[in-house]
Amino acid sequence: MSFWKGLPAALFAASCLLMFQAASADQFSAVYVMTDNLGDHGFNDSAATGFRRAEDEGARIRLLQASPTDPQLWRQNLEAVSNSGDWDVIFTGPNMHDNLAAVAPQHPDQMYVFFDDELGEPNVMSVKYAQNEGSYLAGALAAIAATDSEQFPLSDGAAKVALVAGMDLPVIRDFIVGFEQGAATVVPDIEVQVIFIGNFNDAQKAYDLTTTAIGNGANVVYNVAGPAGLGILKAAADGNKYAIGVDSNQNHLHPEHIIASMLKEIGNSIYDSISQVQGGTAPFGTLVMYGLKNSGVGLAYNDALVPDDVKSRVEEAKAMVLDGSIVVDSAF
Amino acid sequence: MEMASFIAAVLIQSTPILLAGLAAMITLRANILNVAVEGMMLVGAFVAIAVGDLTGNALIAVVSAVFAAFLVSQALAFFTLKLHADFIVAGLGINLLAAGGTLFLLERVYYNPGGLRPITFPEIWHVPDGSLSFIPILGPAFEGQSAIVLIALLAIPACHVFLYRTPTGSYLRAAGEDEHAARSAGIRVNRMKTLAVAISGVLSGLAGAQLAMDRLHFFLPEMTAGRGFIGLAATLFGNGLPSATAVASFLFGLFGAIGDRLQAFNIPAQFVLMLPYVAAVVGLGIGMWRIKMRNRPAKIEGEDKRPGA
Repeated sequence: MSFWKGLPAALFAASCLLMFQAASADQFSAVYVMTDNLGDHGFNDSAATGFRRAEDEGARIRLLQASPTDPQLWRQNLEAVSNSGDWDVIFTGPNMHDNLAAVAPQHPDQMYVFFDDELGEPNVMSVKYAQNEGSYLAGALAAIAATDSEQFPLSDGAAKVALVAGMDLPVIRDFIVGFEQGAATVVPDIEVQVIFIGNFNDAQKAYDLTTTAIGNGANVVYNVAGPAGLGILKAAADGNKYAIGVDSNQNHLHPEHIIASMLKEIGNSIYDSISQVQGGTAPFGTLVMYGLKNSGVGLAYNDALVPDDVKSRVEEAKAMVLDGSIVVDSAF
Repeated sequence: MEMASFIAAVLIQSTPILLAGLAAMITLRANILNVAVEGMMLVGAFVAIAVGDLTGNALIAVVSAVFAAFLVSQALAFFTLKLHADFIVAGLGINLLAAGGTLFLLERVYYNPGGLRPITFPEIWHVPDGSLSFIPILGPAFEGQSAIVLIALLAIPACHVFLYRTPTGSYLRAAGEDEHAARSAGIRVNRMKTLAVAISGVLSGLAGAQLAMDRLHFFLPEMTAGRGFIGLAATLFGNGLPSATAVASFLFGLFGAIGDRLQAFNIPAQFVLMLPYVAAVVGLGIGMWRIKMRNRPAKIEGEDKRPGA
């Protein structure tokens, strides 16, 4: 009796499994094990654009979102997709170094792409961004905007800028080093306040810290704080000073106060990685750098606020980085 | 001017903690350790932004936020007082439900799990600039503060009057002090506890609305960032007294604001970010020490030197 009762369910399950396998057999598939949610107008959304492009071209894509405060779940998701064997390539990113280092060696036949961080395993391709180079340009622009109160009327001309960051992590340090160096090339004795929120979610704290920095005289605030960065940008707008966005193009969020966004073209790099894996040319076991040279990072200007001659000054700095006459320091 | 902006920063940082602290304080007096303040704040913050976006009216947004948090508090009361679930377990459940539920709505209704950021959002009423400049230092500090900050400050004496000067407040405290004695005196203990949880919900909803509506005008998942629990710590620090809870909340706000300013100096950020929590641990330590000293048996034979004994 119980056999006959169970039969339809078993058949259904079996057919589902078959359909699933059939689907995965002829379709390239990629999954992204996330440590955060989409919709941050920043890092994660930028990554998602790359996956969406691949999906439009026929790949099977799954973005596994997870709460930023639930590290247990990140590991579970990574192990689940690794064990399932359903995915041609597994993407994962920030905060996952230790998890991937534990899981990747157990699945030597599974391909992994690890972006915004580095792991030396033969089945892992690491993708990193030269955020120090992008931040160098952001620093140069910030220094010009702070001191040139004619072209940037919200500045009082004092050589003071601020950088509000999420946490004191190596990748964040890389932003800071580049920003400080870029600002110092324009105004050697510029004052750069570096401020940490302590996490990437507390937007109110970000707001308070930014307000304090502006109270201390900062004319331009650089947002390096992921989702909480929305609080930084709001505080700069409320304080009627300038801000520089990060990761995605955030210029439209406060069009009268955000002079530029430092783009990490995470989406492009992910799309490139998927094509490389698909084409079998992906250099597994190595590190791929996306910097100014291959348009992995860049500065998106807010044309309404940044005049052309300022742009050309920043582009000069960019050219000097490109031809190697300036080497941007790195925290790594 | 510098002093005024510092006091303003302390007020802004203290207000959510103060409201959360008072919310936990009221339930503590009814003998309930309310860990669900965090979750109710989050619901308040979410509803404030969602309704403000929908209606374009700040007052409706605040009222809706308070009402939503009130509903959540009544769910908590139902599970614990009617179905006899443990308060801590049910409270933590409410927190998980609030975190997951808001995320679910962001995903399903707004297709954007990273947050809810309306393009335009109605401004909540703020004290107009220059209206209080005739008062030195404190006047400018209050200019630009939201209506909820003023409500929070008024809530301190209101809680005191309610608890100590009204019959209902006395019943509520009696229900918390000794349930059986209160019941035999004809007090409806469960009704008093439900009332305490309801007030707690209203105050938490205000705290959430303040956090989301005062400056930010957007909602992020888990944006309360532990403020509900800091409020709970303030209550325990303040020994369940309205005034002491308020003092503790302002202390947390003070250390937060000092920390923000210390970051301008060359002090390791990790140390500065630790300050509010160190203050919490030290505060709780002092609080426990005081209780221990008070409850120490009297040294002199035959004489009880304990105050109030």
